[in-house]
Amino acid sequence: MLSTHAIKFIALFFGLLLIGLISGNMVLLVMSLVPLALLLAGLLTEPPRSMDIRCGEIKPTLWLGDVVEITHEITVNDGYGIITLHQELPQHFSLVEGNNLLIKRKGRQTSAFTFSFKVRCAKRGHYVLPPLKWETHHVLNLTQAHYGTVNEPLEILVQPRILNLRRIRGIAGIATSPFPVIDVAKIGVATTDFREIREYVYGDPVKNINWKATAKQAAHGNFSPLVNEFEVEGKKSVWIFLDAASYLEVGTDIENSFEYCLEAANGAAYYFTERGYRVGMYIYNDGDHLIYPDAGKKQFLRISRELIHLNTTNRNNEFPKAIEKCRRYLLGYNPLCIVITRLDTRYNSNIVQGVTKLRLLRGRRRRKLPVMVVSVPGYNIIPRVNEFDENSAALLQLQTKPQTQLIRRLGASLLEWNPRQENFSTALLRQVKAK
Amino acid sequence: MRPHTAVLNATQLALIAALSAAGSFAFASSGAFIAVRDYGQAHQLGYMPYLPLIIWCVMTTFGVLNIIVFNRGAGSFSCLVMIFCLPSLLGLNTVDWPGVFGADFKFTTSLGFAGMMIIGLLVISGYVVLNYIRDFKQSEQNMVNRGATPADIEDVSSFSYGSLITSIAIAIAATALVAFLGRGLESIILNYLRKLPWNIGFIGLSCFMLLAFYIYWLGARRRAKNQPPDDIQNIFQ
Repeated sequence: MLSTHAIKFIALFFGLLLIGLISGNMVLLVMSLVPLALLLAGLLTEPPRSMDIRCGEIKPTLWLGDVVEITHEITVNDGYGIITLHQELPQHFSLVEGNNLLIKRKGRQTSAFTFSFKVRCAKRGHYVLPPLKWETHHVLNLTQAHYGTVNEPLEILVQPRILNLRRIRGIAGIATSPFPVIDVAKIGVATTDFREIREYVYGDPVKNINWKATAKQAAHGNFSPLVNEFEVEGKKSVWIFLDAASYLEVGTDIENSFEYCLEAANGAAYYFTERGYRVGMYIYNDGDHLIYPDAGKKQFLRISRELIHLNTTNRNNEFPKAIEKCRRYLLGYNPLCIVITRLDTRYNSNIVQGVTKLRLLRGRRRRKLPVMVVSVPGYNIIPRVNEFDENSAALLQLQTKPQTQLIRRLGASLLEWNPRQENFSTALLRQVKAK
Repeated sequence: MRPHTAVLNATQLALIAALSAAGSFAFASSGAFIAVRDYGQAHQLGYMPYLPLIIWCVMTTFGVLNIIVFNRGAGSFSCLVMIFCLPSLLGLNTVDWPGVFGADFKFTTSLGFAGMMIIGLLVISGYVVLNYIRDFKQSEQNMVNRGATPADIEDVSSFSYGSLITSIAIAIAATALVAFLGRGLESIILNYLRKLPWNIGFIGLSCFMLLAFYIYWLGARRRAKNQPPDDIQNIFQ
């Protein structure tokens, strides 16, 4: 198909030819031959119409922040012209090295080249890498460009990165956290590991009665039966309350409090499931989003998958309601409650109210639920350009202080995480140091 | 301004100046200029000796403003050049159209066929090159906007300009060859052609052209049929 350039040349040729013929002017006739000769000489060559493209392998599952190399080996055998290759990148993918647009010339010889570039996945989520687009142009634009795509769209899952949480062993003393790693659960499936012999209480299975010990005790005049108690499977439970309100979106699209909250939630879930804990999660301010407590890698994957597609909503006061909804599980498992949110907002009274509710959930006489509040303040995320920004951050910090003190007074431990200064594992380790 | 752009602008300026000079020279060689000069001398207009220079300046200014400053096509500038070439060009007409209509009016020129042909070829190829330079500049800008690397842009641009120069050279060489062959043949077959009625020659030439294009079209269609669509030709690996 001829382009407008070619049509212009044809029109010019016919115009000059006609005038030359009518006026019998040899010069005009000669002049008319220039566009014709140019057109015919140009049309002797055709732009490339086919190419052999070999795509490099791309993993369908990536970790957040991974750098991926996208490579295509291209061979063009026929044609003469200009080749353009363009790999459209999904949102939140940024170029690290190379260029996702390649423009090459194709001469008379076979042309073979590599189209390679590196991209970074800057945000978790489910992305589609569109097919590689190519277009070929006639070198003098005498024919219309050819367009096409190569390969099918590729689905890529970008998972939040798992934090490298270290475990501290053998520190003697009282932990600042009320939930040491070696704590074990009171309920759960009994194992064969013997724990102790205790007095029989109503409801104990008869098969657990230690008849030999009971007989020995009876010899001393105490006739109540003794039962063997075994270690139960698994350790204590952890319950994560994750905030998904829109006020968490402080910062850029890629780097904001919400993203760091997700990173913290994912890291905590990984840490505790790896160590055999039963982990449950409730995402509040996002409707009814409950993940039942369970242990093992499968549970971590379930939580992680849920976090990949999570977005914020405009709700902001659902934390106390969330506790009500999880009441059954909280009373049943007595878990460590980790609340991941941002405290430097005007909605932090809901958090204080919720923490109070959590602490009083088991009644005044029984041991209270351990609560840890992880806060990712917005003033740590936004880059501070000048002294006014510094002062604003300091003011916000001061404004939040009464609430943080109140939370500490309620008996909850508070972890203020500054992602720009330390990673989450370091921040967590500050909580387990000896007193 | 990048050095590459400066070179392109300088090339455009040189071409505009050359085309303007060709137009001015063609006009100065024509009978129309002599008539204007005589009129000026009769009315004692002092600038008449500088008229070719004034025409050159006006055309160059128009070309620079239109093509380089406002980045428009070379069509209007080439038309202006052709207007100034016209008196000389019409001086080489073999058909006396004013005489056909009974007017006693004749275009004359001091330029011969070879001289006028060189000017004609310069004007037409200058128009083509100026248009292509504008197109290539736009393509470069598109490539820059799309984020292509400077090395790629440089490579593709040099390839495009190289191809353009080659094509223009081939076209001019082919045209010049045909022109001189035609001029040689003219003396041989002119006596025979003069015996033919003009309408037979005109209709015959038109039929010949139509037939040539029909054959070319048939060839192009067959070529297109032999090639499968673009998307099938991709070899997915």
